[in-house]
Amino acid sequence: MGEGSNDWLEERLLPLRSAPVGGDGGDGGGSDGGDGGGGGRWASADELRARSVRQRRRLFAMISGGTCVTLAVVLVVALLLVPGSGHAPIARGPGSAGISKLAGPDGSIHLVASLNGTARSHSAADSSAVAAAEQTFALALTREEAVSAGDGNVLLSPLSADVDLAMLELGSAGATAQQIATALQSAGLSNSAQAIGWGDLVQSLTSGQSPGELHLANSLWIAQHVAVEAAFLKACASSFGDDSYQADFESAEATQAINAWVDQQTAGRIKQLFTAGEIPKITEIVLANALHFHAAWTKGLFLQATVANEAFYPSTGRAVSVPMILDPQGTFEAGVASDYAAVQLPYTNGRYAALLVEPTAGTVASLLTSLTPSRLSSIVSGLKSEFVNFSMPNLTLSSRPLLNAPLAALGMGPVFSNADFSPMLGPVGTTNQALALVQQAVTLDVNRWGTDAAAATGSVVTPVAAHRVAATISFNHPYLFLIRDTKTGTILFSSIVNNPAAG
Amino acid sequence: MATAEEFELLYQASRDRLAGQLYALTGDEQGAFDLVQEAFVRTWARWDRISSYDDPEAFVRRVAFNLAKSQWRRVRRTLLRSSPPDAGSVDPDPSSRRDLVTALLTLSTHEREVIVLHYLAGQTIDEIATDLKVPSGTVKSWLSRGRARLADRLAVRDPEEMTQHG
Repeated sequence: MGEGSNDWLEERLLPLRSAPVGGDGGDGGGSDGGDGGGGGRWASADELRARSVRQRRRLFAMISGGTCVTLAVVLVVALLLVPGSGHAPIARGPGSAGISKLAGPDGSIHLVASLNGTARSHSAADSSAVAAAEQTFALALTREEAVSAGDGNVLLSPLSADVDLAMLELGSAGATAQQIATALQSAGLSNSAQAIGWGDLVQSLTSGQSPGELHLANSLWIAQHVAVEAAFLKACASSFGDDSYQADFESAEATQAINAWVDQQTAGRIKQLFTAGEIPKITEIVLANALHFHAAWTKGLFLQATVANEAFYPSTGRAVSVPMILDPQGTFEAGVASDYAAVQLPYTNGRYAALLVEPTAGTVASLLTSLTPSRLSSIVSGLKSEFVNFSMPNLTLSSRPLLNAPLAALGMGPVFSNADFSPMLGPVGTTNQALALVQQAVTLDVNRWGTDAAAATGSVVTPVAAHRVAATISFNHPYLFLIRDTKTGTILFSSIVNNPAAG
Repeated sequence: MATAEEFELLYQASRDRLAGQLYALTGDEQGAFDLVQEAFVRTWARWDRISSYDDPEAFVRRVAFNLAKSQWRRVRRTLLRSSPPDAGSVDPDPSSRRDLVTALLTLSTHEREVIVLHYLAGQTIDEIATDLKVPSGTVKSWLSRGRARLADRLAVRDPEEMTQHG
């Protein structure tokens, strides 16, 4: 039907094969550089790209839930979200393995190598194994952090910590490597399987359905007097795509430079990973990771929702009044069991989702005790599309957890006193080295439009010495909040919301 | 590799063609330009992915068509006020774009969309069916009915209809 070249309709429609010119009859298109369409004129491609950036900025402002966003932050976000814009201090691209310099204002810090995209082999099995280990680590780390947080909120990025420590593991040997692997729940994986698995997982997570949804970056900050092993730099760059910088830790500018890098990679969400003086002057290397997650809820979610102050009941103390997102007749992926109520909230494109789990008997801590990746999977697989009288708090949380204690509890204790980092630091790293601190900074902003979350982790190595409308699911008691990759199960962010009013 | 140059090339090469299709779909000249440009604005936001598609133009077209359909009621009201699609008032002059478009506007949205996709965008029936998420038979039916109505409006004897009905 109609396939023939002499079809009467095809011939009749010929005049419509080109753009209209603003009146009856006539052919031909318009001209560039016009007024954006007036009178049949075309805007230039540059103008369309600029409009695209402006639209993204508006989306960002909407998701941030306010109009008081500074222009500087908006510009940084726009740069992050626009394809073709660089995230890194200098332009970089796949396969750029050259030695470059960063022209810093003080001259004390410069880029010494950018080794992104080095060719490597791929294995789906390796990335699945790494993702599985990450989930176990994520739950264990959240559990340990909950112990020290008591009744306070917990906010972590397990993924950020895991990537950072996996780099450190690449640079360690002997018992140190085993202890880090134990903590990361990756003891059963060989170094090469981990390296390949992490490379593939990071690539998969950051090249999902929606560009700009998740940005992840790593960097190494190396003291001027330290010679880092070339094999370590290469392996690290191959799996994690690091940039390496020389830094003078005697100077306060090193801390400022790391914080500036984190600030840039998280689109201004995290201004300070390390406070002044926190990085010892005798530091030899800092391994840093930063990630920024920024996504709107899937289309239609919370379309009819309102926000109003409602009561939230912390585990101890009086009820507090907090802004709650109320969606009394929404359709959600929800499940209610004897001991918990859970709701999954998908983000645009469905790759990532927030999973909220509120214990209906016991505490979040007791729920976490029995929570494993397989139970998490069964909770998710048990969710069904239901009409739910739903409510949850608008969240604006931030934290700066020092991870030394939870990591020590997970098996890394000895690494903080004596470690073998010879694969990273050469013979000098065999003895008298230690991990001084693993510092993380995290922000989480959840509102009716979506979620904006950012995290940075820094590991500092120094020498020793130094339904039916039936269910009502209201997240108005302490609950667990996870941002997960629905494909691999990777847990990007975890939070125990004990008191949203505490901020 | 996703570059601004590739985006510009696609824009230069396809915008007139797409505007013609959007004009045929909506009957709104200025709206056709606006819709195509808005579709390219949205495409740029995902360009690093879209650029690797076999047919990025098809993506832009789908975005533009979806935008057009979401504005459809408003556009249709405007058009009905300005030029009622009355068969008796159609100028049979085949060179007149407006008359062609006016005739197209007498079709249902589905009929018009599949005719534009098939005869102007060059999509096969199977491709349209995939695109619109309907069975191929439904596309054939819309196409057939649309052809018959257009033949009537443009005072053309449809040879296909003659074949079918003897």
